[in-house]
Amino acid sequence: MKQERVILSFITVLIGLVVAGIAFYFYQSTKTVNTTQSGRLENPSPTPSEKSPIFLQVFEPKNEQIADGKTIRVSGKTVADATVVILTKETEEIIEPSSEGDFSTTVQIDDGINYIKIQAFLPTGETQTVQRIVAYTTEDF
Amino acid sequence: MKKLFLTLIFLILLSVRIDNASALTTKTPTPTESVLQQQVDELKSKIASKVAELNLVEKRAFFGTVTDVSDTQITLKDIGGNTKFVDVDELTKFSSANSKSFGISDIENNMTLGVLGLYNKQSRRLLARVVNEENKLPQFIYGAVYSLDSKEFTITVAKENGARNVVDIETVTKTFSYEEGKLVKSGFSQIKGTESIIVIGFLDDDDKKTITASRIILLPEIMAGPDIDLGPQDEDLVPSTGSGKKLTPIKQPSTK
Repeated sequence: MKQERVILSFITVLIGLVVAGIAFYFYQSTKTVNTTQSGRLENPSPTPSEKSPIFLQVFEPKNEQIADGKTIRVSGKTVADATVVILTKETEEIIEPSSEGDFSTTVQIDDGINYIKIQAFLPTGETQTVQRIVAYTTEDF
Repeated sequence: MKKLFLTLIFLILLSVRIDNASALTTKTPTPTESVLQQQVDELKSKIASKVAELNLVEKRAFFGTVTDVSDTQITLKDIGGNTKFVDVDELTKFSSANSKSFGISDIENNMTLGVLGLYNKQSRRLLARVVNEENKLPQFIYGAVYSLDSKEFTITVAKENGARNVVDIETVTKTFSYEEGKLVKSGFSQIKGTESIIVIGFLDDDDKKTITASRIILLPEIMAGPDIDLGPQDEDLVPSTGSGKKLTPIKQPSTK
């Protein structure tokens, strides 16, 4: 009688483990992982520097870009009351950004390598500079 | 006891049947289906590798000064001071305004090159397709007018880093002023002291502090930057104490 009880307990535990295992298997197989949220979290906007009251971001052109044509767009963002000076070897352009700080203009480039210097100035004289190398070629490679 | 033994056997058999049933649900492919599946997998793999290759390689342009060169590789230092590696092969074309037979053997250290080619994002190397000897970039300086010499037609510009440049104005120098949202033509006589100024020009070969200006942009509505020192900087100049006594350097007694 005592032996029967031991075996019965053993079987009960075994059945419990099997049921738990099946339940766990079904739970795992129905679980889905959202891949879009698994990437690294990045800070969407740069942390403003405490030292400088001015910032300058240039969206276009990308540095070392090979342009499709000889007219390229220069666009970016800075503080609203800044003055943006765009200089190349041959040309100069000065623009005022929008109330949001966005600016955009077009610049003519030459064949081969072109250097573009974009500099934003505050009326108080603080400044930020971004440099770009942009090329244009008719060579196909 | 016998009943328990039977129950145990029944449970074992049941678990075996469940395993078999689940195994049977996986359909064994026929030989034709298997070949077809293999072809689809191969195609998928080819497309994936091509997409990866296209994303990995892009057209790019490097500009910089040569720091090292060999038969198959050029090392450049770009305008930001970064080191760039360029690979050269038999398809690379070389050109220079100074030489018709310009090639890899003509490239020397400190030469300025522009390189167009295929950039591998993984290896961070550019496979050169076009290598051209470039002229050095002009100087783009920003500062404030420190002093003017109307006899020599020169301006001394105080820069943000504390340095000063003498800007030589030539007859070919174009001067502009940005006033009330417009870039208007200006001249040497309209340049005022402490005014913000941008100078584009080339360094004098003999005097590295002198720039021959090709263009000048005056920014009268923008104050001189806080980092620009417009105070006296001449080391020979002895500042006045207000007492009429001339300052002399204090000589420390020798410790020997």
